[in-house]
Amino acid sequence: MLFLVLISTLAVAMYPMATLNVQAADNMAENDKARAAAESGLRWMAWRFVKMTRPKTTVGNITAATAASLWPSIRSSIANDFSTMLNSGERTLTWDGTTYRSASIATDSGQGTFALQIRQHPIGAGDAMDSTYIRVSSVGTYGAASKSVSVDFKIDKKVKFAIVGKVPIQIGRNTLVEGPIAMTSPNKFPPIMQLSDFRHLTPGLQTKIDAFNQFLENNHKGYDNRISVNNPDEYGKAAAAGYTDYNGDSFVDEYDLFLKEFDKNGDKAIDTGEFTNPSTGKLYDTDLFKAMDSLGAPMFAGDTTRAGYQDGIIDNRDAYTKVRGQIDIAATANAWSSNLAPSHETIQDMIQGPVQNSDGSADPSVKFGVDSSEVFDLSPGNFDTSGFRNKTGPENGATSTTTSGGQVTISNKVLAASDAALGPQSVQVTTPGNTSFKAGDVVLKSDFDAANASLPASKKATAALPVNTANEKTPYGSASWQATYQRPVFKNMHFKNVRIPKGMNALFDNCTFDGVTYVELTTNITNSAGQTTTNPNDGMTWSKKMKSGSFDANTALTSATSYGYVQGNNLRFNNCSMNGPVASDVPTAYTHFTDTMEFTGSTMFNNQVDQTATIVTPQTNIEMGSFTDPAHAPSTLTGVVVAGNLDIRGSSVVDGSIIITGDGAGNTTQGWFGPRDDQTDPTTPMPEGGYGRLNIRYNPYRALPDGINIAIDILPDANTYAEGL
Amino acid sequence: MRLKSAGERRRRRHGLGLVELLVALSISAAVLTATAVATDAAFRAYHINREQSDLMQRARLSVYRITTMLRQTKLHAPHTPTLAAQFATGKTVTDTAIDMYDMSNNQVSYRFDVTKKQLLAVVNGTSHVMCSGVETFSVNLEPMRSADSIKTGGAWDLLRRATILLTVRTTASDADVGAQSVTLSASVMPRRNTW
Repeated sequence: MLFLVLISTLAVAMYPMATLNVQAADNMAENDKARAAAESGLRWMAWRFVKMTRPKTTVGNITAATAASLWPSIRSSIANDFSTMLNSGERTLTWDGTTYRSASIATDSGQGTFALQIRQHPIGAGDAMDSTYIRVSSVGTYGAASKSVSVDFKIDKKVKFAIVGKVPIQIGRNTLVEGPIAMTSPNKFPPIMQLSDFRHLTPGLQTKIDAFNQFLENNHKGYDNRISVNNPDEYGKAAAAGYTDYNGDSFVDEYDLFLKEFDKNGDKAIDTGEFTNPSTGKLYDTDLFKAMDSLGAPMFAGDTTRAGYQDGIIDNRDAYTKVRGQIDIAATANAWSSNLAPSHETIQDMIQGPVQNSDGSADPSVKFGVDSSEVFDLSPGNFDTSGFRNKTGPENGATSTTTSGGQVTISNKVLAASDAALGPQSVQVTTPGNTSFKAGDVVLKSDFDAANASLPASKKATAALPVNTANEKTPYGSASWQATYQRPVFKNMHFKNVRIPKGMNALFDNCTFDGVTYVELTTNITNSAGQTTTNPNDGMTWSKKMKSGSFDANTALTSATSYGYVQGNNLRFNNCSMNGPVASDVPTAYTHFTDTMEFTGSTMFNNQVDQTATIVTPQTNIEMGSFTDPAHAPSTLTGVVVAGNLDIRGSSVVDGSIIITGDGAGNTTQGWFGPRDDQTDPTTPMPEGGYGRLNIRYNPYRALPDGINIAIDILPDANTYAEGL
Repeated sequence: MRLKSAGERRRRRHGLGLVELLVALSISAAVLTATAVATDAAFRAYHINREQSDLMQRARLSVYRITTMLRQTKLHAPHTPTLAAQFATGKTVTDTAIDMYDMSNNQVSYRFDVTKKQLLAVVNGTSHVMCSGVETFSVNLEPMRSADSIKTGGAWDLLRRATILLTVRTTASDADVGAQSVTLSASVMPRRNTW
């Protein structure tokens, strides 16, 4: 009896304790599950903000006022998106005048649910956040527990890519990209081709890099070409193969091989002395050295200049990587591999050099199968350049032609071919005779006459074409030209806010362009049936349509012979200074050579007018730099560069984004790949002047220009994460 | 010989013999001993359960508090300078303390006082005992780099993930009860770093 009493007493005493313990554990578990449900709600909403059809605007800079005006559209987008949810009971959204409140949404088939509150800032007096932010609060519930978390989402409009386009992207030697890259066509191969920056420097380094690439192909998962020291399996194999993290950045990559090759004194840095080729007394590659030393440049006026920037030393502070940003590819890895199989190549062969995410996240550096929701719509119709047009010609002010110091200045005018006669006369040399000219040179007639003056008739240079006229192949200097154009020549002239009408097809030599320069084009490209087309093949047919005779790439097109000549604009700017943005009309289709602008010689871009954009020419083919001397023509392209296609050679900085809207070109080439427009052979020897260099950097601090009609972004600002309301 | 009558036989059975008494005492002693042992075991079981429950609560609350803070705070780093230096070079390290800053820029640390066997919450230099009887406390810190640091080749300046291991042992003097311990672990990613 006594025993029973005792045991019973103890049992009664232990019951509440055990119950309390179980209850406490249950509470903790439910708390955690409720918080997890709440966080699921936030991430679910972030995902919906990315996937839903968001409002579009042509406004480039999203200010608080713009964001406030967009709020009704955003609310409609949210409501429309919720209305598509499978569970009708979860579609309900209530609006109380300030806040959207969702119904309870189940995280799965269990007990977890979340409910969202969506409200635009400012939320109350003293709120430091303006209307460009939206607060999303999520209340998660599990059993009797509920937890709330919140994050503020930023309304913005950015390209978010250093390079984005519809055609294969080629990134050559000495081309360093700071920012994400996207190639949005799933069926064009190779979507990316990226060359090593170091392989060409010495034969010994080439052997080491080739062996390292083979090691990566055999042992490394992913295509970032970096082995983490925190990956015991891969790092163990790398160490066994003799590879070390020489620079101590916790990754083994090509840079370690490069550093080890040239770091003679073991200080984990390379100065110009160490990088000098003893047999030539010159740097192994001056352009590469400068490109690496110029990484991580200040983003805006007043931005801190990083330690080691352009200090003549290559070290960890330069943080070299071939691409610093995720590479998004619409094609799947399997599709690409299948495409490469017949040539016995692999994806690793196509992507050389280290790639790392710009935000330090663990997401894959090279991402395949990216869908359209992750990249903005590149359709040419989304680009409205009328704002630029209105800043040129008579719409911008009174037309004038003045002469000062012997130079003609034309302002606010729609140019005509006859305006070439306002400047000095020029001739194109047909045969150089005994002069120092070369055939094809366009020279001042006064210089031409002076050179011939003392020569006998048989030794004189000749010029077959009329003054201010030249015949040129396009692309200029390429061994694989597409057409020949007869051009009016504007030489040594100064233009301000001028408009170049279609059919001009001019050569501007040694000219200065201030303000905005606008190029007119035929916008309605038609197929052989006379219907509007967006097809680049139709564009090519349209370009080759002749008034008389048949198209021949060697026969100069004129207004008398070619429809494309009259309807399009193939322009060359040689040794010009472009001190403002260049924009054009937007044809419906990419027309290859007909709508083309070539910037050659020492043409420099120094945009002092509009920091949002330097080139806005959707569907126009842009060629920059020289096929024979890529180190020429240093330029800085600020803001966005929008083109139907864009090939850049030479020594340039792109401080913004390159946007390729055309889908007709074979590829867009960033950096020097060879002396031909169609060349991609990485074994092409370095020209005497070097490969040039190209620093392409996405700058998130630059606003977009007005006129790009793309959807706004609504992206979470992780720094605003908070638990509790 | 005369047979005893039934009454005489009953009268003799009314007495308690010595043997019977001894047997009865023995049985009683055995029963009481068994009861005492069972009672003691029951009481010890009660104490142990109560201690386990207490330990579990302390451990849970401590881990819950630390993970909640880690999720919401910034600038996490190992407390030990040598480990912080390794962390900054990209190495995953395990420390007995972790430092961070909350959103009001208060420095918050969770440290293990080995001598006193206490887990301390240190806020702006002021220590608070979070949990006593701590046998072990460790934080495994996996580093990552911020965008700025990547751009400039800087240090691994952010925490990607922390894994906490906490063992709490009872402080009771009773040898049996004092042998109880509870070990909990939890992993957490700071939301500001890894959204």
